[in-house]
Amino acid sequence: MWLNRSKIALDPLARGSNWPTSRAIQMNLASNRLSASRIAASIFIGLCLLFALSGCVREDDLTPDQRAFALDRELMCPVCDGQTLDQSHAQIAEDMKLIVREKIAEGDSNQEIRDYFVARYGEIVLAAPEASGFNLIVWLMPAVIAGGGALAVVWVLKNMRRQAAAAGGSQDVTLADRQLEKYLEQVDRDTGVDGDSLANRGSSSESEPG
Amino acid sequence: MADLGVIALLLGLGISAYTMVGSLIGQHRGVPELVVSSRRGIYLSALMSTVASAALLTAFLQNDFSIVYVRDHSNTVLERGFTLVAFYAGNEGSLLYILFALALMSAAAVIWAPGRFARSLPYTVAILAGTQAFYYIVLLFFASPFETVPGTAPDEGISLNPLLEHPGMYSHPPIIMAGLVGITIPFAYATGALISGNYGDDWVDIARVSGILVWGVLGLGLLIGAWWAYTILGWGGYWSWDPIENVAFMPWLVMTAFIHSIMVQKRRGMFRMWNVALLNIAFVLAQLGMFINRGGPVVSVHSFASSSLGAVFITFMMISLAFAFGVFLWRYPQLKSDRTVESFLSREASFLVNNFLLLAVTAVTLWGVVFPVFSDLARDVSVSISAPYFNRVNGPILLAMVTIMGVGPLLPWRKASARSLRNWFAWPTGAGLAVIAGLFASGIDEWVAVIAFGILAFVAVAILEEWWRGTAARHRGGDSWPVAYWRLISGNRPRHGGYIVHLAVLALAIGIIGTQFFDQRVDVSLMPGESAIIDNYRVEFIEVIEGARADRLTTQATLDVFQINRSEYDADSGGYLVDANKYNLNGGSYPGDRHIGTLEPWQGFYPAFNQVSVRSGIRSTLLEDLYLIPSNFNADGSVALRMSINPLAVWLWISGPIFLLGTAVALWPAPAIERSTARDRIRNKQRLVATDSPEAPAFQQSGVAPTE
Repeated sequence: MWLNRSKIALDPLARGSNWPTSRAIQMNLASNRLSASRIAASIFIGLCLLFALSGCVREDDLTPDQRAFALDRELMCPVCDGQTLDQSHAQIAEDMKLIVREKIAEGDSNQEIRDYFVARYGEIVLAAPEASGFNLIVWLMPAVIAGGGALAVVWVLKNMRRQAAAAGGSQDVTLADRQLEKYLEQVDRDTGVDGDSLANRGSSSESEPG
Repeated sequence: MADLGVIALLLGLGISAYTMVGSLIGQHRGVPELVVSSRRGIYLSALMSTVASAALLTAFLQNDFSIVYVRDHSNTVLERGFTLVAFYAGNEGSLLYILFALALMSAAAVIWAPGRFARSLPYTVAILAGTQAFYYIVLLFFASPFETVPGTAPDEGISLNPLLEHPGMYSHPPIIMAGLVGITIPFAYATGALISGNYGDDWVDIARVSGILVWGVLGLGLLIGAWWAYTILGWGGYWSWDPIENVAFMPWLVMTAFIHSIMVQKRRGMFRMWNVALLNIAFVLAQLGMFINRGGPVVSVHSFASSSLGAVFITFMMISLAFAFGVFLWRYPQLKSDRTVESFLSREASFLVNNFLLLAVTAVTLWGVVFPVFSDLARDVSVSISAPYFNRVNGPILLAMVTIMGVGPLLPWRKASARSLRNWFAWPTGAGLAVIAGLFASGIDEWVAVIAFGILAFVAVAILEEWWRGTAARHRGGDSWPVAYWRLISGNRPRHGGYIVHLAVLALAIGIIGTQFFDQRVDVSLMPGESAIIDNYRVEFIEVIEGARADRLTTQATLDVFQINRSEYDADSGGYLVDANKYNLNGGSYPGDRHIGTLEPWQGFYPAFNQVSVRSGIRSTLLEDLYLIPSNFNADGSVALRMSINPLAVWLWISGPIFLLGTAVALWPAPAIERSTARDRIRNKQRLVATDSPEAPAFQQSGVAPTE
C-alpha cells in the first residue's frame, strides 16, 4: 500500500512506467515463488519444532517438589469433574498428592508413578493420555490438522496467484483512472478528509525516497 | 408471577413463529405490509421475553418459593444482590436470560440495519425469529423456569451454589452467554443476504460491526471468567482447558478469524465465501457449546447448568448446521471473489495464514473435546483430555499466531517488495533478537519462554513502529505530537483499534508465559508465629479467625508478608520453614525484612451443600503475584498453606482494559464527514453501477487503499 501510494503521489510523470504490465507481474511472481515456498516451509518447520520442544521435560533437573507439582497437574482427581489434583481440594485429591510425594521420595520415576495410578483408577486418571496405541491418534491429529491446513493455505495461495497471473491484464489500470484518482486524492487532501493515507504517504516518502 | 411468565412465553412463541413465517411469505409473495408487520414482531418478541424475565426476577425478589427454580437457587438469607444473579445461576433461568439477550439484540439488529440492506432484511428477521422460537419452545416444554412446587409452597429455599457467590457472577455468566448467543446476529445478516441473492458487499459493514461487538463481548466474558477462576477457585490457575471453557473459546477464535478476514473483503472484495463459512462455523460452534453445556456427554467442572436437554440442543445444532451450510452451498457459485491474492508476501496472504492458525487451534481444541467421547465409543475406555494436552498442542500454534500478528500488519496489500520488507522489519526483528540475547545473558534458561518473549518484543515494536512513523509524518505536517497521534488513530479506527487489541494480546501472552514457565510453589504447614520463605518473601502465620454466617462457617488465616533479603537467610531452611529462634523472629522481624502487607485468605464450609470453597490471598505487583491458599486448617492449630509465586500474572488482567479500549476504538463510528473520502464515494457509485458487470470497476482494482 505504501509503495503504490508513494508512486502516485511523488512521481506523477513517471508513474506510467511504474505500473506493472501483466508481463512484469508474471516475472515478479516467478521471482517470488522461491521466497514464498521458503516462507511456507519455514513456518511449518517452525511449528513442528515448537511442537517437539514444548514436550521437553527435564525430569532430572527438577527438585522433588517441582516434580511433585508437575505430577499434580498430570493427574486427574477421580471424583471431581474435570479437575486435576492441582486444582482440587477434595480429600481424595489431597491423599493422592501425598502418595505422589511419598513415591518420589522412594525414588520412583514419573512414569512409574503414573502407571501406579493408572493401574488403580484406569486411564481416565491421566490428564492427557499416553502417546501409544489407540491414544496415539489423539496426539497425531493436531499435526495432521496443522500440516493439512498449511498445505491447504499454500494450495489456495498458489491457485489464486495463478489466477492473478492469468488475469494480469485486468489488474492494470488505465491512465484516465489514475488521473481521476490523483484528482480525488487532491480533493480529499484539501477538504481534510483523508485520514490514513497522509501518514502512509509521509512515511513511505521517508522509506522510499524517489 | 409464574402464570404471567408462562403467558409471556406463550405469546412470544406465537409472535416469533408468526414473524418467521410472515416475513418469508411477505417477501416471496411481495406483500410489503406483511414484511413490515413481521419486522415489528421482532420488537414484540423482545417485549415478551422482557416480561417473562421480569416475572422471574420479581419472583426471586419476593422469595416466591412456590416456583421450583426460585426455591432451588435462592433463600431468605442470600444477600439481595445475589438474589438477582440467581436468576441466571441455573439451567432454566440461564436459558430465559439467553432468550432475553437474543431478543434484545435481534431488535437492535433490525433497528440498526442500514437502508441498503432492506432487501435482505426479511430473511434476517426470519432467521432471528426462528432462533428465538427455538428458545421459547425449550423454555415452555423442556425447561420451564416457571414450574411450580406441588402442594403448599415451602417457607425457605435451598440456596445458590456457594462457588457462585462472587462479584464475578454479576459479569462473567451474563456477558459470556450474551456473547455466545450474539453470534446469531452477524450470522443472520450474512445468511439473510445470501438467501435474498444479495451477493454484493452490502452486508459486510453491518456484519463486521456486529461481529466485532459480539466478539468483544465474548472475549471480555472469557477474560472475566479467567480472573474469577484465579481469584476464587483457589488453585492459582486461570484457564484449565475444561470442555465448557473450550466450547466458549472456539467460537471466539472463529469470530477472531472472521473480524480479520472480513477486512479483506471490505478492502479488496476477496474471501467472500470464506467469511460466510466462518460465520457459519462460529454459529454452529456456539450451538455445540449450548449442547455440551446443557447435558452433553463430556465431564466438566462448570456443571452449574447441567440438564438432560442434550437431545434438544443437539437437534437444534444439527438443524443449524444443515441450514447454514445448505444455504452456503446453494449460493456458493455466486460468491466468487472479484480478485485474487497476488503474492505470498502480502497482507491478504497474512490474513489467510492468520485464519488458518486460528482455525487450527479451533480444530485441535474441538478434537480434544470430543476425543473422550470417541474413545468411550471405540474402546469402552474413558480417557481425560485436559490442560497438559492442550498446552502442548495449542501452545505452539498460539505462539505462531502471535508471530503473524506482528508480521501481517507490516506487509502491504497486494505485494511487498524486498526493499519495504527490509525497511519495515529491521527494527522489530532487531528488538526481538535483542530481547532474546538480553534474557539469555541474564541467565534465564527456559529457552522456549525466552524465544516467546523475543517474539512478543518483535510484535510490540512492529506496532510501535507503525505508530511512530505515522505520528512523525503528521508531526512534520505541522501537528503537535499528541494531536498527530490522535489524528493518526482517529484517521483509521478499525486498524488502530486492532493494534490496541494486539497490545492487549501481548499483555495476555506476557502473563501466560510468565505463569506457565516461571511459577514457583511451596507447600508448608505453619503453627501460629511460624514463618516460611518463598522467593524473596517471608510469610508469617499470625492467627486463625473462625466465623459463622447464615449459610457458612468460615476459617480465615491472617498472614503477614515480608519482603526479605534472601541472602540474610541460610539456604538451610529445608521445606522453606524458618527457624524462628535462629533469626530471633519471635516478637519482631529480622533486620532487613520489610513488612509489605497482610493477607487474609479463608475457607468457607457450606453445610447445606457439604462443600468447601477457598478464597486465596493475593499480593500483586507488576512483576509477580504472591498467591496463598489455605488448603487445610489442622486440628493442632496449624495451617497447611500452599504458597506460590505467579510471575507476571497481573498482565493477564491488565490486558482486559486495553482489549476493551481497542475494541471500542475499532467500533467507534467515524464522524459523518470523515466517513467516506471522495474516492470512496466515487468508487461506491461505480460499484453500484457495475455490480453485475463481469469486469469490476477499475478503481477497485487499482490497489490504492481507500481511507480505512
